Amino acid sequence: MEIQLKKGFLEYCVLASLIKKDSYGYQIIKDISQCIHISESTLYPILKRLEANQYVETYSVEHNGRLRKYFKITVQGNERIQEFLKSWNEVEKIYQFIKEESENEEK
Amino acid sequence: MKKNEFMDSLKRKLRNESYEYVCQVVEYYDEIINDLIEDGISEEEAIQSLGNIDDILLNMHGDDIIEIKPHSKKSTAFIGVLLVLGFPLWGSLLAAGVLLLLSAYIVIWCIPIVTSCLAFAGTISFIVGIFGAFPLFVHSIALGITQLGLSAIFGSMGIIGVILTHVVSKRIFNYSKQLTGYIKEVSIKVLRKVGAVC
Repeated sequence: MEIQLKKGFLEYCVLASLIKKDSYGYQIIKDISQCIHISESTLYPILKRLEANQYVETYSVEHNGRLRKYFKITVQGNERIQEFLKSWNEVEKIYQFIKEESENEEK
Repeated sequence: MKKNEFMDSLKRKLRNESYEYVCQVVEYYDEIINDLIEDGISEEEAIQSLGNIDDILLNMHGDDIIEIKPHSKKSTAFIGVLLVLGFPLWGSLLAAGVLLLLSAYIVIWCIPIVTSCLAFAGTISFIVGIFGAFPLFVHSIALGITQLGLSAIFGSMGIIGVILTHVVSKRIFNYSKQLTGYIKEVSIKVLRKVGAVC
């Protein structure tokens, strides 16, 4: 998939992975990797941006003698996902437009 | 490459970034590496799976929304001077806080110490009472039976003491563990804020 397009989707994938339960960096990577590849270095700025925009909150939990940072989706984060889902029709229109133009070119 | 080498290398590459940013990145990778190792791969494999450090940094900086502030040496030096000059004040407060916490631990742990003393005293009295009852039977059966009865009472006290010690110390140990974890977390947060640790 094209990098910029992928970057756009990743943010929503991270938020979606936090809907059911709070999670931490490594687990988020494992969950998302089922549908889209993401590296540790790609996830970091996404998490920071989501935190800065208050789409996620963080807290630490002691795990095996060390602190593990957990991410929790906020109300704004949930709203963000809903906005994305609502805008899908527009994305489909764009896709159809590109597809039709591409097919016209071939003819 | 070992984790320490990777972290040192990462810190060196990030030397021009703000102290806060470096701490956050190091903390993030430390957690990821520990999780990878916990998942069953070796330390070297975990580092290898992260890829080249230069690529990692390029990827991390690829996101232009993240603001990276330049490292401020002036503010760090200022904090250092403040820390040294303010030591008589914050040093005494810190010592008072530590002693207060120590007192809290001692007070809390007094409860299982008392119950364990009860258990010990009860058990010893029971053993001494049982063996001491036999010579008494020679002089007087009534005295011997009384001694045996007293031993049984002490024995039951000992058993109650053992049970109480077990239950109480288990709970207090968990509370102490939670309190220690909380103090550790708060201390790390404070030390990070003043820039003493990453």
